[in-house]
Amino acid sequence: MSEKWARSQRKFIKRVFTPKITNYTKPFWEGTKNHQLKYQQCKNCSYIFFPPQPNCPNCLSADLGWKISAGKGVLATFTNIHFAAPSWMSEKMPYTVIIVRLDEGFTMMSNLINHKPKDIEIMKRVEAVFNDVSDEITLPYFQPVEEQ
Amino acid sequence: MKGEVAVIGVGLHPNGVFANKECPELAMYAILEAIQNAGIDKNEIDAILTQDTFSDRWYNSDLSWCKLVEMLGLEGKCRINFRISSGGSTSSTAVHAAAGMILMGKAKCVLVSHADKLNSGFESIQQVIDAFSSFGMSQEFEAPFGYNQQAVSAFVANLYMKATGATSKDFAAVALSMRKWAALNPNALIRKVPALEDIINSDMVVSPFTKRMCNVTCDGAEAFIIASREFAEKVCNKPVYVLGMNSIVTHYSIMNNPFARNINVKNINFWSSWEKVANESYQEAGLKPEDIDIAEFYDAYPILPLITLEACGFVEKGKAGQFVLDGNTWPGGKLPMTTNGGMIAGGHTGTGGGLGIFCEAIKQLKGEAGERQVANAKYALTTESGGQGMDAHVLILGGEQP
Repeated sequence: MSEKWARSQRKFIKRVFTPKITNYTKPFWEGTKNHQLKYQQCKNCSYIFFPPQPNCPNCLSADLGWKISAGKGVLATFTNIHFAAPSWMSEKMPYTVIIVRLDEGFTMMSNLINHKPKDIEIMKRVEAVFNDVSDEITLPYFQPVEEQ
Repeated sequence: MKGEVAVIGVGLHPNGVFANKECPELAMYAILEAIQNAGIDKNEIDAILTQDTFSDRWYNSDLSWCKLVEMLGLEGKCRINFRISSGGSTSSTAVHAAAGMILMGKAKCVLVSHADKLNSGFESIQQVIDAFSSFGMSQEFEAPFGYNQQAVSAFVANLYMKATGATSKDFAAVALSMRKWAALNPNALIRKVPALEDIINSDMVVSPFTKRMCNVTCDGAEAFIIASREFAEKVCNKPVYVLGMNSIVTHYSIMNNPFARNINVKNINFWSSWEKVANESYQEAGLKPEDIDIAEFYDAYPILPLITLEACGFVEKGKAGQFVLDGNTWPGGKLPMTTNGGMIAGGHTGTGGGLGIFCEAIKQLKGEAGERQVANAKYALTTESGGQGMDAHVLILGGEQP
């Protein structure tokens, strides 16, 4: 993560996209601040889901618990953005946007960082890394897991 | 419902850049053409639906659906008016809503209108890019990562390549097919036909798509009029019947599509939702893939035409790229596809992109497609999808009843 990107991220968060944190997503953002990736699991039916919401999409129960993910998963798909990026990312082109399927079973969107071109591969093992982009916001990114 | 509603008229403002025209002017151009094309007295219109617009509040908070009642002098005659929106699939959604009202006997002649200025309605191209990097997605869990609407198709395309062995050449073939049709369409934005290699070798935008595989946003307007069969047959000598229509919604965010949640390289499946609605529509219409004369497929990017060619039963899975490359979907081919040039060459007017393709199907089946006219076209299959590919819509239209 270059300092320059961190700066542009900070700028964008403040200028355009400070995520509007809601009552039910707050624990997720508190988690990332502590460099933890949190997700919800329904206490009634055990269903795991993401992004956070006030009720279980499976059984509609509001009795939900928060768990900490091990932060490891597979790259489900990706794209490299070389052109026509939003203004808050234009200094970072090209960058890689990915969908990650975490080992716990939920999926999320993120960026792949600290990678070589050969790492951008569907089913590649990845792990979460955290970037403190402002005092309020820490974004979860992913990097390739080094082969043993 | 088979054949109980029919489209009687369509109108289109050319796609392009029209800085000196506002949305109401663009909209009225298309509406007047649609009224004329339907051959009706405007006072017959008893319902007005307007599609969602991105650049102009006239179509949204300024209640365009009501203002149009005044502009068309339909006060006290129009029975119902509302805005309708499901992004790229809105024209299919509008057909569903109109058909419901018509079959309930609450309306007989419904006007659907859209206008947008996705070029001159914004201050800069960067503003358009920023809009499409924040519309239709989570502001909390997607936009901060520089995700955009182009990435939706790119995500699916990379998976499709992994699953089928498709290459950049297959996507280029689709873009070339669109360019060849757009060259014959006076309303299209881009009418030059490049070489296949130029499409493959143009600058990378969002991998695996190069610049010439991506759509270009522009200004434009579209309208259509849909009516009960009884009214349609009375006023129009060539009504286009809705023979089958089905849809399914699979996700909001593409990260929650089942293919991502259940990722498994041996079984990547993005065909199933399209197969389901295509089969339902064939059954409803009493037709088979070999009965279809034209595939008016939603594009936006070159991946969806490949998936839908396969899912709608025209080509074996993984073979659609070669099918397009062999010229089967080009002018003169055995399955003409997206004959207005789609959004890749025709231009992208937002929720009007799908509407333009839908109107093209009507023109073809009415025999009014000019240089693009497919000889003896009786049945067309149209597809539409909105948001982050959130839904799959398949309509089967017929210039006659089977």
